[in-house]
Amino acid sequence: MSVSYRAVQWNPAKKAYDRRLVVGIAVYLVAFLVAAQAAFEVSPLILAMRAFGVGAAVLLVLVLSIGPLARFTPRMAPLLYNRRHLGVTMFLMALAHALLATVWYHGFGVLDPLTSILSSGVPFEGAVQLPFQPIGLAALAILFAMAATSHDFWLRNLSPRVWKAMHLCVYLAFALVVAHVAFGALQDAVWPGYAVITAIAAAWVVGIHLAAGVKELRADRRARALAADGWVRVGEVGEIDEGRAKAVKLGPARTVAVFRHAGGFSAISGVCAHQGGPLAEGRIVDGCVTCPWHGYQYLAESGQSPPPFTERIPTYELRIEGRTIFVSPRPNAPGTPVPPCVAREGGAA
Amino acid sequence: MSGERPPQESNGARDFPAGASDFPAGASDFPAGASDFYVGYLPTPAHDRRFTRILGVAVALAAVAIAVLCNAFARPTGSGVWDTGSEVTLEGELVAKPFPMLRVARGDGTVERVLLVEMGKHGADARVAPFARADGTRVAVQARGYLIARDGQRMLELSEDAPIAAGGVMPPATLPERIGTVELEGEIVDSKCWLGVMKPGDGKAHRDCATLCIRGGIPPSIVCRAPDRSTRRALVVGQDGAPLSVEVLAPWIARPVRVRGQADVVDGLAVIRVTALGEPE
Repeated sequence: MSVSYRAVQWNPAKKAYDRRLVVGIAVYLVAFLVAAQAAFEVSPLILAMRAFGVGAAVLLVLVLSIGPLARFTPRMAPLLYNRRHLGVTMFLMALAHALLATVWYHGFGVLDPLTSILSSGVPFEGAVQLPFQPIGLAALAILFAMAATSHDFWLRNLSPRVWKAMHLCVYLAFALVVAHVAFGALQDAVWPGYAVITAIAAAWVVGIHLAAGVKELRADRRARALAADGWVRVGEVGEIDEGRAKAVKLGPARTVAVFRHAGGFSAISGVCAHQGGPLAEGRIVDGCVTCPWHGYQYLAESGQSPPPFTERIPTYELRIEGRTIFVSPRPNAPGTPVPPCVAREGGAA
Repeated sequence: MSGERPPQESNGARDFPAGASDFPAGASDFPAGASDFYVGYLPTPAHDRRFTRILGVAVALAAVAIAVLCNAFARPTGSGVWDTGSEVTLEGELVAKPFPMLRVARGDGTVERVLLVEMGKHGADARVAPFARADGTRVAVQARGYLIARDGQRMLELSEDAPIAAGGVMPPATLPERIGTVELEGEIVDSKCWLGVMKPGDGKAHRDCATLCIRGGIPPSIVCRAPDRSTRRALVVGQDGAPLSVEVLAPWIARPVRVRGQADVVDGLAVIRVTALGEPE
């Protein structure tokens, strides 16, 4: 738990990231406007609406790519750490797109804009006539709920499980965005390349998630095959480097991170209490297990965050037979101290 | 460890280590164990800085490429112009039905019909009603507003404050040219957006806007596209010559449609009295 909340938890790295994000978006918007000057004339508000809409879609693909790519390379960690700011920025661009569309297409008429949107395309016949604006509105509502709760205050008060489930709705939002584009802009397009680009983007997002899922599944199967007689075989002592960990899967949603630190071995839950980050991919930094996602820290021998923080995660008993490490499948209560297990020369710990 | 931890408001959101330089920091600022491991609140390892820099440039280039593609292959939007910069006054004979319009005498002795509409998505029926004569007597008026024009066809968006005044040049009377029964394939649009208020003022993205315009009294038209991409526009009205209700038109707006009806051309303006709307063959 945080000691206190701040509206935006900026630090130098996040500020540098945000500066680059703003510059990147500005470059994109300028490029969009410059390119438009060489094309058929488009009403300025429609042009701005298109620029924000396309930009939001690009950012959404980027946001959704970070998680799966981080399963393949730790180099994605800086983007993972700053994903929240990217997500909120993406929502703001989608909001600008929606507001411009609402004002321009649904404003100034005999119906109020919301009524106009929700009665869009009624009656319609067949999928081709599917009204795309209510679909976009539904996607925006999901993105709004996510952006509004993109803060540790909500993570804490909704509980990580509810918060995570809620934020998984981003995939529904992505599907709605694809439908919004397919039944809207693509039906007006004369160049088939737009449909191809949209299909590639959708296939990319689905593909990397499937690839990451298959990778995790294979790792899980490998770990389960090592299970023996109640306690689970972790591996040989030499497999774990100082300050690093090895993950052991104990069940569908239970992973243990076995760390080597200061000559001993300690086992804690492999799931960070913050956002469920993979602690086994973390390191010992400043004597603490440090989550690779957001840097949350725990003491390896107790599963407790160092004072003044109060997060606690379960610990596990370890034993070493010869050079082989085994972990108990039964978790201790969160924050329970367990003395580090030390490998002895030629014998059990 | 905890006793040496720098000031930190949140686990995972602490400030840089005391004494560390600002981002990006040198290797000497890394705490034990973090020299090659990214932690957001610690100095970024060199290889992560390199990677994110390259990735950032790649993403920016991709975004620019998409921005260019989005415009390079966009469909044509027509030659319509909405001149909101200069208010003009036209004078001629006021025609109230089926839609408000002004018969304006041209210099060559011919007459053109200029549709009159309000600002926003509103027709001008209420505005012209006090000037129209129920007994059919011809009335000359002066109308102030902003021109919308495309392919030689004009519309006047009336100014807000008393845009119509009685009096003005009365053009010569003309008779409609009866074309007879026609079948046209095209797209139902609202005339105001099509003529130049919106670019593009057609297509599915514009469908709700067109529906709202027509619901508000903007004259609907059918636009037919020739193989050479040129377009022809005709007003569509009911079989009795009165405006079609939006409920009848709504299912056919901004989609391929086949219109059957009796066509007339009055002062160069084509009008179709619709007898059937349906899918193109």
